[in-house]
Amino acid sequence: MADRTFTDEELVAFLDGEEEHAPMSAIRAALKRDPVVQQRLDALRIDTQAVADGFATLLEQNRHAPETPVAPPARGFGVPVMAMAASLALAIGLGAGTYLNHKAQPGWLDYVAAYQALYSTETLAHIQQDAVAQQAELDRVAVAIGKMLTPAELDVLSGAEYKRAQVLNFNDKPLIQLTFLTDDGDPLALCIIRSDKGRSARPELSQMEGMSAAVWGQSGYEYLLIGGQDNAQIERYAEAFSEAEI
Amino acid sequence: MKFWRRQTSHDIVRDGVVAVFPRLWRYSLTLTGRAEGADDLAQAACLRAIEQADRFEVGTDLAKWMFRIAHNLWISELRKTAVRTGGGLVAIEDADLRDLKPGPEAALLNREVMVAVLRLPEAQRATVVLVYVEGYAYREAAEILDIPIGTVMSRLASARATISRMFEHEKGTRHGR
Repeated sequence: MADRTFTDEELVAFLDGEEEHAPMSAIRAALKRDPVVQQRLDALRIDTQAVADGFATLLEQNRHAPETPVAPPARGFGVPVMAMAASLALAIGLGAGTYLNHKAQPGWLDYVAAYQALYSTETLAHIQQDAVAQQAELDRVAVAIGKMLTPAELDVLSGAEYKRAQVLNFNDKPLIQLTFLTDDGDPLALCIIRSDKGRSARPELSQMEGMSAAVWGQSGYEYLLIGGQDNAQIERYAEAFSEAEI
Repeated sequence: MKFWRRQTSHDIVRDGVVAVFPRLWRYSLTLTGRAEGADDLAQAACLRAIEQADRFEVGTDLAKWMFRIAHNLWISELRKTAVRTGGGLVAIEDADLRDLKPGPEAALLNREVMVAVLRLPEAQRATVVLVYVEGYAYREAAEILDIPIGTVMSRLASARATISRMFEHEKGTRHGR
């Protein structure tokens, strides 16, 4: 006997115990008398426990968990909570950093710093693009802020490799993020946004989100270089970029 | 200290992001179909969550809210880039999954089922993960995905039909639901 009573959707809802969305008792009754319903149900049956168990292994990957900026020692996390401290440093860095260390209204610098805090070595380590692909990517992001760049201009830091470019947005204003990975595995980002604030061309050093940072301005753009904890390195790189008028 | 007044939702989001991250990454992998893409999406969603913390309703499910953010980000921004760079909508390849650490050997079938789910079309695999992995009710999955409940049901039906066919030979030994 052909069974036209139930849709596949209803049978699935029945299997899932979604009582609101399936005529539960009608299906139960039909199962007793109609083998076709049973066959259709079987054709929709899967081992949902195996699905859940299979995906559970993905939770253990633990790859690319947000980068946890090293909390200044003064914060004094105790040894027993070290494991937690590592993960909470992120939250504290973002929270306290944004609200206490900086001005009340977070600007693009805070936004980028918070974003950078989520980067880990692994975020960038796998990225290997040839010059052609890098140029194509730079051409694409360059449009966002009207600044043309070449991989050769960027890959000039000794001890850090240029990795990739992407467009981010702050308050509907595009900014570009150029990422580098240092030989020590620190992810760095050079972020550029259009701005007429007239910030000095001389890099100004600071600490943001527990990372070393430098900010400067040049012909209608603002720059932020951020990442790692090596102030001298950031200063050196910032000066290199500033002098090259990237 | 004007920020203290609305501190509660900020607190919850800030403190909760790290705990939710593994599940968020898993859902991001489901959407992007690539481990690298999952990193970008999960991290961007964390950041967006922190930015928009004052929109989080205290007392509601933080993970669900973050899944929704990840989903919206994926639809509105990152998918475009992924498509342009040749990732994203393509089925997950073995190479992407080989990177992932395998579980215990007894879990071989579970892994096969997981891979089969990850090879479903994007809309189906996202729905399957929200309902069968994350355990969301149809209504909640519909809210996260911003689609009608009927669409959730038809995606699950298609996904179930595909997976069921693939694992027909296993049915004698395992109990399906």
